[in-house]
Amino acid sequence: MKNFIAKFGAILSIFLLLGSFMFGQQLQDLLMKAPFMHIDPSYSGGEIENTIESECYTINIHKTVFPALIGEGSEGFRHITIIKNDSTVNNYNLETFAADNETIVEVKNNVPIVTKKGLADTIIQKGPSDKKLIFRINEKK
Amino acid sequence: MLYKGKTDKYRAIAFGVSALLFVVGFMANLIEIRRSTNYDTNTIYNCDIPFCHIVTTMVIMPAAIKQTIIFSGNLNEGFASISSMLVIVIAAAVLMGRAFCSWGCFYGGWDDMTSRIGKRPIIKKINSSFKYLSFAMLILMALWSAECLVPQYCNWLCPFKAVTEGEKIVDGVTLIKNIIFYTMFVALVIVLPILTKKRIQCATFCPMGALMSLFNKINIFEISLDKEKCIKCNKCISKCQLMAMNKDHKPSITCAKCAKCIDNCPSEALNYRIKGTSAKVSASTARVIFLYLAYSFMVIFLGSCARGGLETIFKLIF
Repeated sequence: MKNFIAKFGAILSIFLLLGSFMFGQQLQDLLMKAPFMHIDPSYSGGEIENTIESECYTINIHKTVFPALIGEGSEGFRHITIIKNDSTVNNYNLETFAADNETIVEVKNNVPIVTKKGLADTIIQKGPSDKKLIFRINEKK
Repeated sequence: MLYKGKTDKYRAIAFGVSALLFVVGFMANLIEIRRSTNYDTNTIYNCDIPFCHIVTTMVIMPAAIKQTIIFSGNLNEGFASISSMLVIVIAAAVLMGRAFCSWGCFYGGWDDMTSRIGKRPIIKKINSSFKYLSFAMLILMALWSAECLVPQYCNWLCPFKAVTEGEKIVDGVTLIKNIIFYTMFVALVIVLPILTKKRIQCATFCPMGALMSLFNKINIFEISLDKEKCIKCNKCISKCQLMAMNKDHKPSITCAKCAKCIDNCPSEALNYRIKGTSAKVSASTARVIFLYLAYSFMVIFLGSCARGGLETIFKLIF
């Protein structure tokens, strides 16, 4: 009986292996429901706090992330993604916009310049490139 | 392929060729997607890096504690997504144990190939206890990566960055990283395997090998020794590329079931066995079932990896 069960288990493993490839997408979808299947905010940038829409750009301003294994660290960053809406523009050139109440951002020829002054209005005129422009602003607690 | 004495030979050919083709296909894919085989900060921020099975060893702890994956990849879409690789890794770990390292790992093929260059080893005496270094690497990498929330093996040490996806050199740190990647590749994947005829990277340095070894404990297949037949010639010990044979001629936990010891045993004392069965009764059955399982995995998984390489080569030729 022990022999039979062991051999049955061994043969079953072939079918399980084939099944894991045949039903790979379903298994992936199942795995996606696991609570740990989220990219860590230190890579993805975390939750989006504010979105600024304009003719040329969509700016996603993420919440500040303070990465740590447990709790929050003392140093963090704010992740900003700028997506072009107008494909006719070649470089990202954005006049000042506010990342938060303190941080002012300006983008000149794809290079973000960050200053801390206070609130600023969002004025976006030119822009683009094939990809998103992503950058991070370092912050401390 | 089921014929005794040739199993390892055929496995090694398929394994090595797949490893080479994988690299060709992988690089071609990266060039197609991002026009470069290098990644930079933008690639990381875009979560655009293909997930490799070795990363699994470093994401486990943060996944358990923080409930997040510390990798800049795509969760369920695109090329080598995290979920697709995790499904394959889990299936391989449970159903094959460390046999994955000899039948399914597209990096292992490199070590396997180079360790076959030359007839005799130049460095003959090598302490087999070095095989436990991979467990130290596993613990070190898991803790270091969890502490920094960065997969540190990939970030600093992976020898295969040299033939897959390197970090773009933009400053001194990235330059040092690239020097380490290439040095590791030359030392662990080319020079030392040729000198010792052992898979040095896989046996002593790869954290994934250590993780898969732990799964050997729950895996239903193993290589067993018939003590009555064993003539203690030590061929199995000297031939094992992973230094997995113990002094008593029994395979240790790090055995990758490559069949090299079985093929080289002059008295046929070693064979595959299904745990829970009598070795004498089920030797041939175990052999057939295991080889079907292992070759199926190799053909489906490594075959799909190698297909990209073949396609690239055909495109270049025609």
